[in-house]
Amino acid sequence: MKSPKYSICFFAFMILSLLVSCYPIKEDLTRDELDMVITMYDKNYYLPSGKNDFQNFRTFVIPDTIVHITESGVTDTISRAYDSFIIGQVRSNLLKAGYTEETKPAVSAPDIAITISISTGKIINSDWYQYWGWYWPDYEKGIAASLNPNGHYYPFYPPYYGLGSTYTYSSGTILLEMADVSRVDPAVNELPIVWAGIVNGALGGTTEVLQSRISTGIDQSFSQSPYLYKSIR
Amino acid sequence: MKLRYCLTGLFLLTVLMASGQGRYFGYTYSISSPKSGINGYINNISYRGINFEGFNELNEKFAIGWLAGWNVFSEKLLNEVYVKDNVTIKGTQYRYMNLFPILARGLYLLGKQSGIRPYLGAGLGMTSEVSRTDLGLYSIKNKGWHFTMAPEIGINFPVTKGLITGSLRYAYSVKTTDLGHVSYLSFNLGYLFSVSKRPAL
Repeated sequence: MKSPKYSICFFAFMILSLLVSCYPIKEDLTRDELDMVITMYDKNYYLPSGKNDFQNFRTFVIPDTIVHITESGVTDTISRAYDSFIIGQVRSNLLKAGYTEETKPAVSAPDIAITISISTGKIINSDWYQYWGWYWPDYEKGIAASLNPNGHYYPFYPPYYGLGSTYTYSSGTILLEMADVSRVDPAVNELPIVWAGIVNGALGGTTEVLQSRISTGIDQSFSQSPYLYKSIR
Repeated sequence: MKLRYCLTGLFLLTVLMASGQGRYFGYTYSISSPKSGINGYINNISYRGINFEGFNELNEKFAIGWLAGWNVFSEKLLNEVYVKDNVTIKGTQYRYMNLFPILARGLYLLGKQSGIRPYLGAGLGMTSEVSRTDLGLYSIKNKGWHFTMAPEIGINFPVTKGLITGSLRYAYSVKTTDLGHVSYLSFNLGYLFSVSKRPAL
């Protein structure tokens, strides 16, 4: 027969163990706390030590259509309700950074083109290990690709791991990409991307709240890239 | 890997083979302060810790002991900006580090056997690290085992059918191929049951 003190000890240990949780921060998350902004630049154009070829860019153009990234064969259900708002926010930030919009790109080529893409998806207990999951679209193939530090493009797929579904989010990603127009080669189906901003977060909320989060995210992608701003700032 | 098995074996041998004048086991509550290797990542003091531990007196002065613990460090960083090379990431981060030390301990006991007994100790063993950083909708996870050294000082107060024990332990876990070193200072307070045939107070 077991001694009562062993039982008491074991019981107390179990109770105390239950009080200790692996992930103890238990708060009700708001959607904006799940928002994330990632920016990345091409090191051939900028180095913190001094080089900054972004300063050579003066004019820009923004295509009037936002690219919707969907899986092959899947119907595009992404809303276009926010397209003009998003384009307006990007334009506003570029103007604020000191660039001039080229209104007749067919006549006078701009220095840079900013393309905007949107993707949505479900995140099911997604694990993001030590590498970052870049979503870098290849416009022709419609698949995700990534840019390595040397400026080459490689196919890349989202890191989904089915390690038990404990939660699910509907996520949305806005991808801003800056291409150096002078380096565009029509014979190559790749754009020379020199800067990218990724605004990612959970979908949902009212139109006003969503617009506010989109606006904050796009503004942040520029403000955390001070090398884009003209030195007159 | 072999080292881990050896140390786990040593730990089990310590528990199973040791016999002597007094045998004690129980649990302690642990408060930990992050030190080198943790405090660049999480700065908050951990109030979530527990140890299952015990020791066996070999003679009047020496005892060998064991410990299996769990310390949880966590911190929320609001709108943290993280820069790595040419990438900048901004978002609210939730950082967690779980450390599970498994130690074999040697204790040098001062004072008289029936009285209050300060002690000096040293532990050797392994620590399992499970850390996670939640950023936005994503998580970065790291797992691994460290080799751990843990000097300690403590004091045991004899009470009915056991001991009240308090200790200050510095645990240093060396870096591995994938993980950096971690270290923390823990204050531990708890109760150990006497399981020896020697009459307790």
